[in-house]
This record gives sequence, structure tokens and C-alpha cells, in this order.
Amino acid sequence: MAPNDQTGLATPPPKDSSSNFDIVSHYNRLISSDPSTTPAIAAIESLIAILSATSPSTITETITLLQSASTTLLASQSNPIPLSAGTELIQRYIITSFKQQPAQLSGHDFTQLRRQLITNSKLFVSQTKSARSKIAKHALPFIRDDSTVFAYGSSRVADAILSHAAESNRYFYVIFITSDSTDSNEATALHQSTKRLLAHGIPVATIPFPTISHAIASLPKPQASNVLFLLGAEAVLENGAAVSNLGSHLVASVAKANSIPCYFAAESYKFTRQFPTSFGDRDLQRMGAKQQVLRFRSSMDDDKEIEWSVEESKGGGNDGGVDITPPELISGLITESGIMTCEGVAEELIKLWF
Amino acid sequence: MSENAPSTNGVSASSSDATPSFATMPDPASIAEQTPDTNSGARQERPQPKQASTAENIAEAGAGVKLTGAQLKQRKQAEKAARRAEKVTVKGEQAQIQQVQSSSSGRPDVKQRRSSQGEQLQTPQSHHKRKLSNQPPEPGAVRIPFRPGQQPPSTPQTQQPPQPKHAEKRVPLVSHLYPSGKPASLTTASREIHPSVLTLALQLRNLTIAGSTARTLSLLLTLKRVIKAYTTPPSTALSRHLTTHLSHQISFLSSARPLGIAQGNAIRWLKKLISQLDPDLDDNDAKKFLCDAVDSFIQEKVTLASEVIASQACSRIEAEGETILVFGKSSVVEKALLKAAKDEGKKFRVVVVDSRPLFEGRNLAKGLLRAGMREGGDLDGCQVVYSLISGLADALEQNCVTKCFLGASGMLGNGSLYSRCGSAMVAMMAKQYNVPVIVLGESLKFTAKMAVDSLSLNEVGDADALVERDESQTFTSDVPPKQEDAGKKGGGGKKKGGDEEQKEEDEDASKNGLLESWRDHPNLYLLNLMYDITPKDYLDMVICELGTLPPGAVPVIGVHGGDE
Amino acid sequence: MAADLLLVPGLASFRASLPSWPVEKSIEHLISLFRRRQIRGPKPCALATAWLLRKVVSTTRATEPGKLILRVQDVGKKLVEAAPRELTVGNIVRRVLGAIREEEENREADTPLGSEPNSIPPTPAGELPTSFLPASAIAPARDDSPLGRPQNRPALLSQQTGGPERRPAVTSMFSIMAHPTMRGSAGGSSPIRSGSSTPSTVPQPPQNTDFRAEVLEAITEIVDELDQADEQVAGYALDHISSQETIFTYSTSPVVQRFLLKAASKRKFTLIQAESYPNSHKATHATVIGSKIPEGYEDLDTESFSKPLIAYGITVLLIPDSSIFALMSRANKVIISATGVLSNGSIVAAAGTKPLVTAARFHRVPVIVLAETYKLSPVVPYDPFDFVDYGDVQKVVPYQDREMQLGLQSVQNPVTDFVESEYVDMFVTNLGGVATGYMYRTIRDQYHDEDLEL
Repeated sequence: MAPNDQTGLATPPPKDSSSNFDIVSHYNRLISSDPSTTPAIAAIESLIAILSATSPSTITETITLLQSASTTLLASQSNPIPLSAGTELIQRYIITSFKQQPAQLSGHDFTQLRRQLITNSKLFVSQTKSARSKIAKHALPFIRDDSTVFAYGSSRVADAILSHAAESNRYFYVIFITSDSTDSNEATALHQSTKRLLAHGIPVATIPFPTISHAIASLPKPQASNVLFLLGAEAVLENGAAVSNLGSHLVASVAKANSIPCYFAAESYKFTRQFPTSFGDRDLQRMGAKQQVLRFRSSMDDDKEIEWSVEESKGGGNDGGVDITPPELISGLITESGIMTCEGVAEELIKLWF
Repeated sequence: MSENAPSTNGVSASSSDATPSFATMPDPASIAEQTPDTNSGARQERPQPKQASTAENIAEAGAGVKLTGAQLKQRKQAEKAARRAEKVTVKGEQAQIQQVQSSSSGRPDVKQRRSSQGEQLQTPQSHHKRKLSNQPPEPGAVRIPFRPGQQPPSTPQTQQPPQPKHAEKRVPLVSHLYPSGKPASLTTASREIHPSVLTLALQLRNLTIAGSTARTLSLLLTLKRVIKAYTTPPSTALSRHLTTHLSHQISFLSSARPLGIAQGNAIRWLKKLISQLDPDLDDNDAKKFLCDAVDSFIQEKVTLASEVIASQACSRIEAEGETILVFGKSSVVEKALLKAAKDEGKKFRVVVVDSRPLFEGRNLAKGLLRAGMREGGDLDGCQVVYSLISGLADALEQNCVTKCFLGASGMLGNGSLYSRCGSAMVAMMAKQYNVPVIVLGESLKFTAKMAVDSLSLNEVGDADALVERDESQTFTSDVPPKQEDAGKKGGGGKKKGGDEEQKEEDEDASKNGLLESWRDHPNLYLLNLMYDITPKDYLDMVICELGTLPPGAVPVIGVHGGDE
Repeated sequence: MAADLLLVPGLASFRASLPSWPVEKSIEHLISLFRRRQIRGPKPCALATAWLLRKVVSTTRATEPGKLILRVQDVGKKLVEAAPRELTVGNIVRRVLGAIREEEENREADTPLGSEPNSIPPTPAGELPTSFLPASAIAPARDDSPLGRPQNRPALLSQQTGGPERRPAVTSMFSIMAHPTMRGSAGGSSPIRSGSSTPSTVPQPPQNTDFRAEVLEAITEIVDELDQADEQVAGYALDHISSQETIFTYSTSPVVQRFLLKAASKRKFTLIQAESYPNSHKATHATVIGSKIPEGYEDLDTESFSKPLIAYGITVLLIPDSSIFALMSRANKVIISATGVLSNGSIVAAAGTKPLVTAARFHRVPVIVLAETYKLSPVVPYDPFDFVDYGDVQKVVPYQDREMQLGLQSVQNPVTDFVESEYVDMFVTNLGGVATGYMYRTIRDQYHDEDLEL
């Protein structure tokens, strides 16, 4: 697809430029240009962009366009799960709004409708950006004075929660768990979070991943009674399971074994109707992620890949790979509407999809 | 009422042989048909051992404590009680009604005639009679003649006693745990039961001596006395006959209160020792040998063992900052805590968890407080916190407990802990909060017996202990509850006055007596289990004198005996 | 009135004084009764709150819904502050507020604002559990429901009734779907009301009826529900107790008693009753033996204690708390009641319940919790031990025991325990059985989102 530098909705381009609009590069551009955006939002914005760029004239055309654009976009990412939450959402929204309209629409009405859809969607997107701060406020009561918070994976939401708590004059301890696969972006983010917290007088410890159990057992007793784990989720699956940095499942298991609550923070637009039966490579692949952690070697000379690999996606996403944490290990989901139990997720999704 | 009887681990035994005068038993010939029935419906006659005397008797295990004047007094009371019992006219045989073992005093209950036991003793009666007459009289013993008023043994039962009123109510769930024989009583003991054994039986039943270590110790000391007083009848060998003789004593004791695991182990050891005696040994030498052996057994398996355990447990307590959870009262645990605080100057906090009906934790807490674990006391750096078992979750949460020490009545072959009822809950909750649970128990308490739940192997305690009475209003336990209530109101045990408070007291009294009539209700049962079994999963380690073990390794340490 | 003087301050005295005293005085009176713990327990507190609010509504001069809401909120806040650990106070306040809002909606529905006729009372609650935030946190996130109400109330969106601060615009994706131009065609879910106040098809009230009268009627329904809740829960007893079972229960409460009695009339089972010393053992003994109404319940004219279980031929085995683990192996199920149920299905119950359910879990014994709807609270348990209430220390260490009193570093007498939802297998409410995982839903359906933060 030829790159197209149309990014706005200024004027509707000629009708057949759908094939010219490179949604993938649009998406990648959004991700790399705006650090505060998330894959889901960027996906939604991309779809909105293509909708405005190509201006279909019938309902069917619109729907088809969105579907094909979504497919293209998702196929291009190594981990499309968070994006799929966004694309599903916008498609659902549009389909729903179409359902309320008469089957035949005159051209003018349709255009107006389309404009309306686009406006609303943008409104939505702009307001989702404030979701993070809402989540931080909901999470605040969990971080009591003298509590210890374990954080894993450079999740922006988790970071926002910790910063907010620090700014609210809570005194607590933070333990960042780092993993081997921390890439440079994550390392930078970690560094900055640490700096910010220290500036507020919050003691910070950094421990490598293999030492989690040991660290928990090493907590001085008064501190050990007020501990929680805080992780961010990229996506939340239908049964309440959370997709997050590779290693989150293990972290949550350790928390459970020590009777420590483990909370995942996620905005509600990250909910998706995917439903895994298990939590390994195949399940992720079934959902579109190109990840294969377990790869046996047959000879020493096989120097193709000594380590497991994740097909590189261009910018954004989670380069370190993802895994799925089952709902029984999750004590609660912190969303911008409040604290949700895992069972509640299914209901919300069912409502959306009727 | 005796649910507050201090169940101390004190030893009220004496190494001296001064046995004061004691009521003799009625003529052996009349034992079989004797039907002394002390059931007068409402009369209490268990002498309540004074708290003070047992407090005085709290001693380091193994240290001999002379019989104090209070002990003598206690014995005199026992005599009087026996005499009273003999005075009462026969009401009838209550052979079918069993009395709950180790019943606390205060219940107008049936004293069973051990007719079955009496019959058992028929055959050996003869030579025992001879034996007793041959026996050099105990120094100071005086034979008290039969009271003339005593009914001849063959009087048939004239009246049927009001049975159901105070009938034993066996809980169907645990009917296998109720003793099959008749419970011991002073008056129905046969002649050959040694007075020390009688005393011990009373003390065991009243829970004056409670706790595995104390019971074992007092048992051994008592048996030593019996051995000393023993004379072999002419045509038998000591090694064979002594065992039988001891068995009689022991079965009397076990009818007062079922034997504990450690006691069982000790007895088995002793019997084995006796059976291995050199037959050529002269009687006196044999007796001396046995007594010495018992002494060194006590020294090794009880006294020193608890010392070793205490110091091992000590070493697990850090110098500062620990909060230790304990339950009930275990002599070894107490020893360990005091050692850590006194000898090693460690500073920690003790959370004592307690439960109804025995409230043994109170004794432990008081013991610790008296030793100085309080502000301004000698062990100022240590503190004591007290909680009831219903407040376990809160106690664990609020106090940041770091360790849990539990005492044992026995350690089973599958690694489970057999200990005071409630220990399982304490260990379970400790595990919830990731608190390591450490059991302190001498190897004497290990057994090959196994049980997977708490009801297969247990002891049923006095159900009436569960009928709550306001402690502060209990001054005498000989008065039956209804009268007691009246007495309370009149006497006003509290410093109250005025109509309103009187009314309140009335209400209190009626509230107190809520379960009084529980026996009258056919479907209502009260169950007071003495022990429970804590599964191995809740235990982290066992400290015995031979070392620290994981609970599953109990069978590895040469267990003393299997089933019995 | 002379009659008041004879009554010990408590629920009965409050009720007696209510008709005659001016409303401000009654409010102060109730606040002080709460503060001094002279009214305690979920049901007494709920009743007192309901009565007071009824009086407040009947005497208020505000006729507009908005002002009425403010008034009730104002009084409600004070009451909740006075009894912070009595969750039912807040629940009843929220219910009353909900009733007001509903009445308001019914009226608005008559005025043709929206394009849809409202024959069914609109969905009262939001879709997602919104958290109960301390006052210092953000404003009520009423509009944060990401999933819009399928059938929204156009009236409320456009109407500014002066309720708590609201965001003017919807913020999340899904609620855009509820934007006036985009309305789902699916029918909304009817409000799930509990007990006797379930309106099935409410006839449209004529516009001119006194608004307050409607609200008063709703409050009366709430009070009725409070009285009937026990009975309704008990109605499900036969579903859950089969014959020859061994039921394990702890402490005592009217609802459990009624439940068991109902089953006892038709089934033979065995009951193992743990007494919960030191806080409710006397009540437990009284219940078991049927001798008298336990303290705290005298005010409520319950007749459930007239005949104890044993009179029905049920074998009752009373055990001390220490034997709970030992006897749990013989139990088939545990049936207990909660003093409060929190937003995620975790419960607040009598002290000692935590060890009880832990023992039940070890022995794989299912735990059934009976909870009337007035006990369901939308509060989020951020800190479990916020809900532990403490009682008279004398019950643990009597005052007479000076040695202990002076020597111990601390003694506590917790009256309640917090139990996480994972220990509860099932709830039984007025509406029947509710799965633990679904409890959050049942709770939220009871209240309006706007009222979650008082």
C-alpha cells in the first residue's frame, strides 16, 4: 500500500482511495508520535481516520471497509490483542448505530450520519485519555500508608497510579520488578518512574524477576502485612483474564501463593471478547499474537535463534512478549469506572454485544 | 465451678512417703455387693482443690515438691467426702448410667459403683487381703472403722433414682469416645488402690493436674511410690506380679481420666522394664532398681528433655522484634518463653489465645505476667497480649505475628499434632498468615497411632463445663446452681447494690443459667472435646529433645509403642 | 412523654419518641444513639434509619425532588458518620435516595421528553460497580459507566435537578451509544428490587399527586421489606437443606434461626452450633434452648424464638468455638449469616467466622451465607480491617481480673470478622440464591450510581 499522508479528516478524498490509505503506517505513526496513547486507542483512531479518509456511502460499504481495515491492521502486529479490543469496539459501535437507522439512507443523510459517528468517536477518544487519571483515583484507597506495592512491567497505568498516590502524600514502599527482557523503552520508563517517586520521598527498591518470592519472604514483618501487587493489563479477556507483560502470570501466582492481593489496572476499552481456554503459546496464537516462547532445538548448530522470539512489530505494543493471567489469580480489576471483579467483565461485554 | 479450675502443669506429688491418714475401704468382702450411692440428687461433694495450693505446687518439672499442708487438707477433705458417701442410704444401683470422665466437680452427678471392677477384683481379693494385712502399715496411717450406719451390702435397691435428670447424655457422634467402664470414685476404689493413686485420680479428674507432661510426671512419681510400698505375695515372682498390681492401679487412674499418649508410653516402658527384671534379684534390690530407673527416666525424658527443647526453641526466637502466638497452656512452651526472656534477655511479644471452657491461656498469661513480662516488671522488654479464639483473625492481623509455638499432648505417626482442642484452629489461621508453626514436644509424646480426623482419637470432657456460670459469682462449688443463683443474689458477690443492679443481677443469673437444664431437653447435646488433631500441613516443625524434625518424621524417631 | 423515660435508650425508645418530637431533635437523638452504640446491629440500625428518614421526608418543606434529595443526603451523611461501621445505615439512606430518584423519573417519564414511552421503570443502576470513594476523592463518577444503559433515561441526561455534581458529558465509548441520537433498541432491564417493594408494572402516577406521598409510600415499603426479609430468606430453606444432613452454624441470628426452623418443619437434620464466645454465646444458648429472646432482639418483637429447634426434633449439638475444626469434618454444610455484604461479595460477619470458613474450606464443606437485601452494601472493601468492629473488652478479660487488666499489653474483643468472597460458596437473599460471583450485580441493582458516595 502506498503511503498516504492523509491523516486528518479535512476533506474527504476521492471514493476509491480506500486502497490507498495505509492504515498500518497510520497506526504506527500514532503509536510512535504519542507516547501516551495505547494500542487500542491508536487502532480506533486509525479506523476513524480511514473512515473519514475514504468516505463510504452505504452502510454495507462502511462495515466492509472497517472490517478489512481491521484485519489488515491486526495482521500487521505481532501482538494484535490490545488492538483488537479497540477495533472490535468501534466496529460494534458503528454497527449498533446503524441498526437504529432505516435500511435505506439517502446520500445526504448518510454523510451526516457518518460525520456524526466520526465526531462521537473522536469525543470518545479524547475522553479516554483521561481514563488513566480516573483509574489512579480509584486505586488510591488501596495504597494505604506504610503499604508495600510490587509493580511489574512498565505499565503506564500502574505508573500513573503510583504517581498519583505519591502526590497525594501517601507514604508507601515501591518494589519494581525488572525482567530480563526489559527493552530500552521499558528501562527508560522505569528509570523515570523511580526518579519521580523518589522525588516524592517514596522509597523504591528494584529487584530482578527471579527474586520475587525471596523478596516477599524478606519483607520485615510490619511491612509484610500490608502488601499488594499492581500490574497493568494490555487487554482483558472475556473471563476476566488479563493479557500483560510476559511474566505477569508468574508474578500473580507468587502473589497468590503468599496470600497477597494482585490487582490489574486497565481501562474499560481494553475489554475484548476473546476467551482463551488456556494460557500458552497456542492460545495466544489463536488470538492472533505471533508468539512462540517454547521452541525446542534439535542441534547445537541451530544458531538461527537461540532465544525465543517474538516477531518484531513496528513500534508500540509489547516487545517483550505477553502472557495471560487467569482470573483466579486476579483480586480485582481497577478500571476508570471503579473496581471490578473478574466475573463482572463477562457481563459488561455481553451487554455491549447484546 | 470447676471450669475455672486451674489446670496447671504443676506437680503435686511428693517424693516423701508420708502418706497421711486416709479412710480405708470397706471390707473387701462387701465390695462386690456394696452399693454406696452418693447420688442424692443435688449434693456436691467433690472437694475443690484450692487454687493457692496448686499455685504453690507449680514447680519446675522434676523438682520434688513436698506435700504441703494444703495437700494434707485436701486429703482430709477427701476422707470426709468418703465418709459422707458411706453415710448416705442406698438409693439404688445406677449401673447403667455412666459418668463423664474427668468431670469437674459441682455436678450433682452419680458416683458410680464400680461393680464390674469390684467383680474383677474378687479372685485376687483373697491374697490381697492377706497382703494388705502383711503390709507394714503406712507411717501415720490409721484405720478408720466402718461407720455403724452403713447399710449391709445386700440391701436391695429400694428406690429407683431419678435417672434421667442427671443422666449422662452421650453425643451420638462421639459415642465411641465415652469410657466403657465406670468412672473412678473414692468410695468404690478397692482396697488395694494405693492412696497416692487415689489422690492422683482425684487430681486428674478435677483437672488439677492437667497437661501431658504434668500428668506423666505425676503418674510416674505415684507409681514409684506404689512400687516402694509393694510387697510380693509369697508364691509369685515380683516381675510377674508387680505388673498386675500396677495394672490395677493404672486402670483405676484411667477410669478417673483416660490416659494420655505420653502416659501410655511411660507405662509401657515401665512394664517392659519390670518384665525384664532379673528373677534372682532380691525384692528390695529390685524395687530400688525400678525406682532408680524411674527417676532417671523422668530425668531424661521429662526434665532434661524439656530443658533441651526450651533452649532449642529459644534459639529460634530472635533477640528482638518477634511476636509469638501461643495457645492454651503448655509447660514446655512456657518454659521456652521464660527462658528466652530471662536467661537470654530477648525481647518479644506473646499473644496468648484462649478458649472456653478451660481458659488455660489465662493461667499462662498470668504466669508470664508474674514472671515480669509487663511494663515495669523484670522482663520489661516483653509484653503479653491476650485474645480469645474467636478473635484469632484479628489477633493475627493486628499483631504481626512472626511465629507460633504449640504444645503437644501427642504427636501422631502421620505427623499430626494431638493437642488441646483449638490448636488446630490456631495452626490453621497461623498458616493463613504465613506464620511458621512450631510444635514443642518431648519424644515421650510420640506415638505410632494415627488419625485423620479429630473424632477418632479424642477424649470427651465434662459437658457441664460448657454451662456458663459467671465466674466472679462462684465462691463455692458445692452448692448446686439453682441455689447458687439464690446465693449469689443474696450474697451479692459483686459490690453492687440497689434495685436496678439487683434486677440486672437477676437477669444475669437467669442468663447464666441458660443451659442449666440442657439435659432435660431430649435433642440438645453439649459436647466438650478435650483434644483435636492438627493436620501435618499446618505444622512446620517439631522440636523434641532429640532435635528438630519435620512433622512427618515422627515415626522415624523410635516411637514408643503402637496401638493400645 | 412519660413513656420515653421508662425505656432504656435504644430502638424502642427512639420509636416511641419519633411521633412526638420535632424532626431536628429526632435526628440529633438518633445520631447520639448511634454514637453511643445504643442501637446496634444491622436490623435495628436499618429500622431506625428508615423511620427517621420517613419522618424527615414527611416533614420537609422541600417539594422538589432535587431539594428532597439534598435534604436526605444531608441527614444521611450525618447518620453514616455517627455509625461508620453499621453498613445498613448507609444502605437504607441509599435506598431512600433511590426511591426519590425513581419517583422523579416516573414523573419525568410522563412528560414527553424522550422519544420512547416509559412503561417500565427505567434502569436504576449503572452498569459497572462504581467504587465508594472517600469524600476526598473525585466527584461521583456517575457517567463513567463505559457501557451505556441500553435504554437510557433521556430525562436525566438533560435534566439538571441539582443533584450531586455531574459531568455534563459522557466520557466513555459505550455510553456514547446512549447518546440521544444513538439509542439502542433493546429493552432495558427492569430494576431488580427486593422483597415486597418490587414494582412489577407501576401505573403512571398522575402528575399532580404529591411527590412526597409517593416517596413516603416507598419508604414504608422499605420498612416492610425490612420486617419481612427474614421470612423471605427462610422461604428458601427447603431448597438448601436436605434430610439427614449435618448443618454447621455459628453464633445466632434471627434469619438463620428462621431458616433452620423452616427447614425443621419438614426435614430432620442435625445441627452443630458453635457458640461464638464471648459476644454472642449467651444469645446462642438462649436460642438453642429457646428460653428467652436474646439481647438486642427484644425490641423487634420477633417470635421466632418461641419454639427452639429442638422442639421440632432436630438434634442440636452445642460446642465451644475451639472445637470448630474438630467437628467440621462431620458437617455437610455451613450456614451462617452476615452482618453486611460488600461490593465484591466479601462479607462482614461475627468474629470467629474467618477461622470457621477456613476450617470449612479445609474440609471441603460448602459455606452458605444468608443475607437479607438491606445488608447488601455497595461499599468497596479497600481495607478489610476497616470493617472489624470492637466490643467490650470486659468480656474477654473481666474487670475483676486486675492482674490481667493491668499487666497485659493489650486485649481486644473484635465483634466482627471480614471474610473474603472466595470463602463463600453461595448467598441466599430475599430473592433467592445468588452466586458469589454475581453478588456484585445484585448489589448494584439495588442502588443508583449517584448514591454510591454519600
